[in-house]
Amino acid sequence: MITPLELIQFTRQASVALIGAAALWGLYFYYQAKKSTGEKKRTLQEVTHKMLEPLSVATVVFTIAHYLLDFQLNYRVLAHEGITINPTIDWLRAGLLVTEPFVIALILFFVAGLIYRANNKKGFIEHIHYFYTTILVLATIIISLPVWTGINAEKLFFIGHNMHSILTLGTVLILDFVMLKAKYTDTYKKHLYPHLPTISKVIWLGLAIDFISVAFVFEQAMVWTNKFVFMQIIVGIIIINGIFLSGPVTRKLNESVKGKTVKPLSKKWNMAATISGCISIASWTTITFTDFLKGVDTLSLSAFITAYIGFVILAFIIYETMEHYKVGENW
Amino acid sequence: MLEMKLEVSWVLFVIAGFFIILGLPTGWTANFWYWAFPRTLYIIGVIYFWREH
Repeated sequence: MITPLELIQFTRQASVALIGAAALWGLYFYYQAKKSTGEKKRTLQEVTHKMLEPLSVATVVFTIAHYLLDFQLNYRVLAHEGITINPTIDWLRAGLLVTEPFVIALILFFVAGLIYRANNKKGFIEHIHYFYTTILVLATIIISLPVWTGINAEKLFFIGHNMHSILTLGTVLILDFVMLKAKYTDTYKKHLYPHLPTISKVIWLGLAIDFISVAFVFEQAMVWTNKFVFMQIIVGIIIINGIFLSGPVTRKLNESVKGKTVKPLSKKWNMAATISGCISIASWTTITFTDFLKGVDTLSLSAFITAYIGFVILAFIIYETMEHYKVGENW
Repeated sequence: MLEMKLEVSWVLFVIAGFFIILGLPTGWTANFWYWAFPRTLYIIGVIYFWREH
């Protein structure tokens, strides 16, 4: 039921969202570090530099997914073209063609950046904001044009509907990455937790951009299926869970670093924050992934919900395993 | 146990979430204006959230 094409499309979308988000937050922490002094400055500079890790992994995954998609669309699917007219495939092909120069630019710029870093690490860190800005611009262009429909309402929908992934899925992944580091280092807790409300603002904004983009195509795109109902339920869960995460959890985390020493969260709060974080990452992944699935409209709602609960449990197991092995402690 | 500080943004988010869910069993979400109503509240909530934090 899930085709390789859909899996590749999702991987490409998620990885470019992560590239964009890593560059965005790298840039944000760079300017926050610039305004700071002492230990805070050093910590934020470190975080700025650390954003290179998810960015590098995502760039490698994106490069593979992009050229796999290219191969699937231009070689394998081509064979079926005479049998089925599928405009989506045509739009996808046109999208690949339009974004190709930007993809090549992104890969070349990333490699050039790493070579420069290997030869002159100090110089690279000093000018890292130019690197992140360029990567962010390229990633935004690539993610905004996964399909090319010409210039019309559909185009506006696709731009908003895809670009928001940098602010939502990508940012949630970066948040998890940063929290993993903060978990074992008090200085990180102290200087990163105050930035959590800003991260929440950006995620809320991302969902708002998605809502606005859907308004452009609502009349022609609205089809009442189980998939649609399921996606609406997940949107509801994201909002309710987001209220809890950006509200009591963020406040509790910030309270824990207000004194001279960092107070650890109680077991109850720790568990609540973990479950809420797992719901957040599983919901954003589910919603992005389901978006690419074309042949699941006939699935029952209970099947969708079971799969979603499976995703949440999987996220929880991954988190608990990482905690057990203290992943991030010696980062 | 849960410390909830009442903020305009959260009130708007809760109302938006309620209407999004309500639109599903009733089928009202199929109407553009019903679909747009909770989302408008949500967007106003986001604006408030930016101002409040």
